[in-house]
Amino acid sequence: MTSGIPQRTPTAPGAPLVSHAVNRYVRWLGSQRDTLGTAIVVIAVLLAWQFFGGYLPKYIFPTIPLAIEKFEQIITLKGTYVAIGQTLVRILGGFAVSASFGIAFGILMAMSTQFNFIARPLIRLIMGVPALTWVLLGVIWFKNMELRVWFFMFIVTFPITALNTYDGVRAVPFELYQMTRSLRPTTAGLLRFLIIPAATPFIFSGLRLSLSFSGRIAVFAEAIAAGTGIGAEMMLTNQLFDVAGLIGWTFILIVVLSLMDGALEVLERRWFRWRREMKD
Amino acid sequence: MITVVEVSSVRKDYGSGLDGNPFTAVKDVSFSVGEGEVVCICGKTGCGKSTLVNMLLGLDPPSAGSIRIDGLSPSADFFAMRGKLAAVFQTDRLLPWRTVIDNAAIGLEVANVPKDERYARARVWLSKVGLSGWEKAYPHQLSGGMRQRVAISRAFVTDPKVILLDEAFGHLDEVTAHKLRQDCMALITESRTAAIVVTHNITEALELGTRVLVLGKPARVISSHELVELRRLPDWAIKRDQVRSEIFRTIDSESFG
Ligand SMILES: Nc1ncnc2c1ncn2[C@@H]1O[C@H](COP(=O)(O)OP(=O)(O)OP(=O)(O)O)[C@@H](O)[C@H]1O
Ligand SMILES: [Mg+2]
Repeated sequence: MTSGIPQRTPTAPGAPLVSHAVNRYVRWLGSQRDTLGTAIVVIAVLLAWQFFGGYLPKYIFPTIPLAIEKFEQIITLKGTYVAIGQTLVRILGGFAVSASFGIAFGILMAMSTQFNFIARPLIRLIMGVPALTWVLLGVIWFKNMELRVWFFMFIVTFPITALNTYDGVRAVPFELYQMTRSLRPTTAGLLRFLIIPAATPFIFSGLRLSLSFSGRIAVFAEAIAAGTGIGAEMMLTNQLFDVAGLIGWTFILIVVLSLMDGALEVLERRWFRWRREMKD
Repeated sequence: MITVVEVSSVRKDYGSGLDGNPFTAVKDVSFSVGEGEVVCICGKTGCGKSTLVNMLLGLDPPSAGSIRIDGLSPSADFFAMRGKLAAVFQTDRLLPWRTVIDNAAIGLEVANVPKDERYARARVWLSKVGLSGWEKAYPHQLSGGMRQRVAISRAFVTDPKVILLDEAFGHLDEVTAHKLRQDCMALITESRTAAIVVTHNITEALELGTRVLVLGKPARVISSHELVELRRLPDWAIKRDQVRSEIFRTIDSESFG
């Protein structure tokens, strides 16, 4: 009764409580495999850090207690939260603009051959130009710091969303398309009833990818072009040879980016309610 | 009898068929359907039945000839025909992210019917197909037969003038198909909708139709069988078997023509 094999047949009376608890525990462990792997990696890194930290000069590599002390210092500063806020606004704003534009662009590409004729080479061109060129162009084209950052985020991430959306629309089953068309909706109705919901899995994967890019790009652009936000703070630690500070800010950045990805994942799960119930 | 569907000399050519050459999927089809009539169309696989259904639905305009449904052209008067034409396809074609009731009511939602009303009307049809209590379920939680019942209520919910069934019972097991066919017929009779039933199952055609049209390949009407009178005869079972072998022979002899 402690085998841990999930039992499909009704369990004999008297025994079920124990076996259910065991089964559930085994299943829980299985579902936690990712977490376990992460924990092992983190512990290994911390051990290595502790080991090497003792041998290297602290301005090159600080010890763990030093890094923690620095981190505590950072999170007590009011300016930290201002920087986080600035970065957040930039990422979310840039992401919102680029996502809505990208989705609309992708849908148009899939629904109009004429538009697609122009749009595909255009996207290929945009994606083919090195990122550095865009940064430098952005600096020349825009005086305003915010615009520079937004431009850079936009130009890198909207093609990702657009291409994913395009693929999603193209993958809408023809049979469902015919059925929906036979109901004679307007184009807006066709989008609302069929195209957008059917393409949503693709759109979400595009959005998650482009959000993670937005995060990285925003911070990168802050470091070299904006002078404020998490990226600028990280640049500052670099100029001060403050490796402990760099590690602290990196940690903050990782937390911020993970939270945003988590929020998107929650939205995605809510949308997939209809699919999740399938597994039960 | 009021004529609801008028198909005259309809033809469909595809610019390039599977081998790249011009291809005639429907050659010359004419027939009409009156109110309350159930016209079964049978013919071999690939003879152009679904192509004909798509033209009737207005999804694909005919290359020549004309189709009038309730006086309108389903392709040229596309939006004016909203709600007048409904179809049940071989597979249920439910939208997986919509609940049963939202699938059943979608035709009304397209026509901007307010939520309360469309749910009330969808509930009526869901109960007629025996799905009361399943309104909030998602399609994947239903069996194939139940899903097809949702598709049937989706078709009836707008009170269409004409209902098209394209192999609607084709992929169900025999027992389920038989039950569903009877239930669906009862609904068609009850609502006095004109129906066009496409099938390659001759037995099904004889069971359902007031008339059976046999199509050759490429599609044209090669024989037509009125069944209303025959059905009233005491030896209907024998007559039916005669008609069945007649249809069989017609299709068979046509195959190399
Ligand atoms: N878009 C298209 N382009 C070219 N040929 C097509 C197209 N659609 C259908 N056809 C061809 O037209 C013929 C008739 O197809 P259709 O689907 O109407 O047959 P069917 O009678 O419904 O067959 P089944 O009984 O298998 O459903 C087939 O040979 C098919 O290959
Ligand atoms: Mg067919």
